[in-house]
Amino acid sequence: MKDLEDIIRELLENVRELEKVIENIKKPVAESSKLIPETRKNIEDVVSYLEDTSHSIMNLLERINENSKGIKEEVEFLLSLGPVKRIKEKLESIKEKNEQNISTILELYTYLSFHDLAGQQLRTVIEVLEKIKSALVDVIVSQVTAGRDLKEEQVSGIKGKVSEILSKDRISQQDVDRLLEEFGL
Amino acid sequence: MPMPPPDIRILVVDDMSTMRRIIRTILNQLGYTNIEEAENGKQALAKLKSEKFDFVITDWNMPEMDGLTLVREIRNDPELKNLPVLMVTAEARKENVIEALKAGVNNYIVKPFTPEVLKEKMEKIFK
Repeated sequence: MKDLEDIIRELLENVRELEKVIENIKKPVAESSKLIPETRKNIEDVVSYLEDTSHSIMNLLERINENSKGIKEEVEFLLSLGPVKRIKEKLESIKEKNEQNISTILELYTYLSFHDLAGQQLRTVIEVLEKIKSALVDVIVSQVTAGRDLKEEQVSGIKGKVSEILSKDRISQQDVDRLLEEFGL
Repeated sequence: MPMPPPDIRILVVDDMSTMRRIIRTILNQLGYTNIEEAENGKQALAKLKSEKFDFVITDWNMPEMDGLTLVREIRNDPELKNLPVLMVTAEARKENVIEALKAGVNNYIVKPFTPEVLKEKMEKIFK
């Protein structure tokens, strides 16, 4: 009789331990599966927004550039008419300033490559996020499989499942429970 | 130093549409209008094998096939091996430049760059 009581006590202790493990896993899986894809999506949105904005700025610069080219042609035409000295000087001055504007526009254009540089740095952040996700999967799986006699393919299946959940946009409690069920928890 | 003739055919390879547009605009300003674009090394290589180009300006980091692999493919192709290639990239470490030179680029520009730098590098390549 005493032996049976001991067994039941031991079983209860095991159940409590398992409950703790479940609680420990539920939270990081739920939080990370929400945060990692969301952060990734936000970063991708920023890159895309930067690209769109850069194109809009380029469109405006092109319009200014076209106007400057038009001004250049008109000034050259007026100069070709042989204006009096004072008007000629003014036209020469307009022509020079207009040319400075054209080269400033081109300079502005080249500075827009900041977007490409920023995009590359942000893509590095996305790569780091992917590495964090992979490390997190390892941590979760090792916590779940610790002390359990599982075959290699079972561990790899669990890893795949955790990874799949972490890649989703959002995770439901059902997903977490289904996952835990697969772990036998 | 003389610039290459204005009628040369140039292939601009970059995965970012803004960068392709920037390079195209600068080339236009320098008098070059015969310009084609590709979004990555793979697309560029297909164009190079089917059409004639005189000069390639390529980025380093691109999906599908990066710029470094593209340069190696060009140098390994008997038909393309002498094609001048300029790498325009954000990779600014010394070892990157050495790696690109070993792969066979003719010159190297770090982003962001000015029209003067592009002009100067083109003059050097085509001198």
